[in-house]
Amino acid sequence: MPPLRILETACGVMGPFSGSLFADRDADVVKLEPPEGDWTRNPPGSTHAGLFHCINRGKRSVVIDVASREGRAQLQSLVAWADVVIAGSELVAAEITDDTLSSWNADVIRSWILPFGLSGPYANYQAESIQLLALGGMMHMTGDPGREPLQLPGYHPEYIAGIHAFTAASAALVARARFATVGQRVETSAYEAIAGSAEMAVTMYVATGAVRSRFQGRQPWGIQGEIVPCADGYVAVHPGAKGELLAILIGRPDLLEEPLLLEPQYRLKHIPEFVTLLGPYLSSHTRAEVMHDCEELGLPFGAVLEIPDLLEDEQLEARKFFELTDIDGTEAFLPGRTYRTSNDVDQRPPAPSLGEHTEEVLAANSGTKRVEESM
Amino acid sequence: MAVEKFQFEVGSLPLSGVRIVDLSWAYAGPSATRTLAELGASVIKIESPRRPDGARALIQDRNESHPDYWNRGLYFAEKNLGKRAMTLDLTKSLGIDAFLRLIRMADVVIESFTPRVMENFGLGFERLVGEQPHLIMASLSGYGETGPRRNRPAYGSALEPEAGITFGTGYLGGPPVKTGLAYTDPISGVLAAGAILHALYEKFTGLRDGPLFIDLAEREAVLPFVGEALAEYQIEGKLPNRIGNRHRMFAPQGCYECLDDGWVAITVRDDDEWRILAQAIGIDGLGLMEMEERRERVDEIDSHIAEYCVTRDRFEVMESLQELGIPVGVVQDGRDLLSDPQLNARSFFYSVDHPVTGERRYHRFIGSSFEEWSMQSTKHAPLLDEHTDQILAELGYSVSEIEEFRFTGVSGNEIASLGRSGPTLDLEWLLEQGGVSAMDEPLGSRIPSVRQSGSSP
Repeated sequence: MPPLRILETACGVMGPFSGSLFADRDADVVKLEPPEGDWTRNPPGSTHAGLFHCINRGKRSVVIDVASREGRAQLQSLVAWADVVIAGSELVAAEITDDTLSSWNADVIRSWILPFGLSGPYANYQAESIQLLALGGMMHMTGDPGREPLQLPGYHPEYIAGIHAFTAASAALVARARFATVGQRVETSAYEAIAGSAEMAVTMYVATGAVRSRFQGRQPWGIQGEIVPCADGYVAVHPGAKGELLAILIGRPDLLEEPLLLEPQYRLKHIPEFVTLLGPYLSSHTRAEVMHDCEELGLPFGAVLEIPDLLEDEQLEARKFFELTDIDGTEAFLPGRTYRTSNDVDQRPPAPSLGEHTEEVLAANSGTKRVEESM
Repeated sequence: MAVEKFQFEVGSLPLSGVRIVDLSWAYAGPSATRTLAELGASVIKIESPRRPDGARALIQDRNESHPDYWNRGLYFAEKNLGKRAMTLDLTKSLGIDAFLRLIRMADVVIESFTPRVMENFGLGFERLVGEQPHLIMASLSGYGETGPRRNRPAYGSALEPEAGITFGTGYLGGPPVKTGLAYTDPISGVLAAGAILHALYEKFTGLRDGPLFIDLAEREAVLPFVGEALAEYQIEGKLPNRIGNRHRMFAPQGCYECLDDGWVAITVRDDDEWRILAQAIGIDGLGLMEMEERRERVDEIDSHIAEYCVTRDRFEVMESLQELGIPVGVVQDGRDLLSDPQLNARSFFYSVDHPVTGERRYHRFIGSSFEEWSMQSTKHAPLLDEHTDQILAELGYSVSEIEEFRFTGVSGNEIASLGRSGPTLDLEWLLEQGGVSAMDEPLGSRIPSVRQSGSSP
């Protein structure tokens, strides 16, 4: 039985990350690139292709110039081959519409991934990551109350949108398989993905009339991951549901009934005193020691890990999470599958070089059937 | 393997007829099954009669005193739309018996305990597959089902620092900053829904024959987000600085204050955009600076942009500069989202009635919409123990047997009659401290009006 066929026409992070989630599941993901390559191969201001290698493992690369007549015909035949087309702003710019895609292949699922979706008053708005975090409600809830709202640097909304698009395309695949029906348009808006993930921004307002705001990482219902210094960095203090365990953690069994440790709202209102109480223990213990003690007690603390810590993390290593990758002559450990299953086989092959599979894909892209027809 | 094929009917949802047993609690797992319920799955949520889902206690309506403590939490309500709920004590043999009857009829089981718990119940994957050979089992945990740290307890808000995200987030020169969110939970929830949908696709098409175990570690689900920083460190030896609201490549980028405590985020990606922005804000003389120079003189540039924004309305700044093709986004809060023209144009919100809290506005958890169906639950989040008798009857238990469940405490809602009062939010205090930035009358069942947008598609 042939694997699922994904045609990834979008460059950057959103579309390719969505494609990589299918590649993780051994789908045949054909990545379409313009002659100059996906921009993540050579990001402006960067000297390496690390980003590209992170999100393009296990794919095949085909170079097509969709602006040319020949390139358009090649695109059409690949759309006819695919179960899912991952479509982004590149197709919008080339004026290849959803109707065009479905006219080329009525059975194909068109998974559009765009900052705001295909319709609505913001459809043509421009956005980088920070605008999506701002509009979607996350920035208002990150940072200090007296200062400006704060972003998460990098490409968080793009990665999140990629996950949502994978889920949505999978739902459309299930519908097509079960109902023997044709393909459909599925739209993922990165803005909506962020707004959907902005914990309790909407529902707290609906319920109470209170507008949730940035509060130094605290939640209105309590301390859940207060960032506090320890002997060799920072830990995120999370009392969980059993505050009395904190008294045991800090070696103060005399404080088993101390409201500062026991009561979530009291704790929240007296954070300086709370932190002072934990201070002697934390400042004399490393992150590893704190986490060891918390694991023994069942306290859900977290350590603020730095990049080198992740590469030495015993749990990630035991789970063989990272995959060794050759990035233009330098070996680096990059993140592996976002989830694993009992059916997973080896690591995925590395990301393709530009146009590595152009010939083989264009020569053999017709004449086989899609998954459900071959049942 | 025989493949079920349904005739397509108008209104059919992709998971119509799919049965999901849901042992998950709090945020990530329940948000996965809410999305699957919106796709048509029949979801049965199982709670311990003595320790119900703790999310039931969070975010109670203001100015309302109601004895029904466990059914009032809006934190729970938004994450459990469209499901049925029963209570079952899985430490008792009668509870196990009912659970296994459910598993025999199920396509999927999902749980989010620390990894030892299902084994302690005697309900590990192997055992369940013995009852249902085609079972898909999804286990969500902080650190994964294998490895020496598998049994570390974890919540989403402490996994964000554990994934290397917090260390790189913060104001220029300041300490690490965590979001005010259980950051990894909603992300893991939608990913878990995707993992289950993909597994169901393989089952329905025959791509896979037999059971599947899904091991989703919330930390690993978001680790790709720091992939570029991992590569950078290994290739160049460089560690990420905390850069506030600046961009690693583009300049300027920042968050600027507007009228009435409003904020906008602005990015300039190339020299053309800079020329256009400089002209729009009246500093034409600086419009020919190239990226390198802009990066060097960013403080000076920031002060010009700040001066432009501070006398203007935040939406006016966004709309007028977007008109020129500049990426600008208003920093929106929950109240703004509810009246946002884009979200409302795309059916992001809908109202559902609830027997205790009444009709309320809810939002989609997934950022995706479909041509063939809408993602809207019509059923309220289940009350504690609401469907226990109904489900036990469906499993073939007689009326007297169902009484036995209640008599022995395997099922029940006695905890509700204890009238426990939970942590009440002190909203006035939060408002004073800044954790709440504004306070209105609760919206209740009202639907906020949509803000008129100055631009059109």
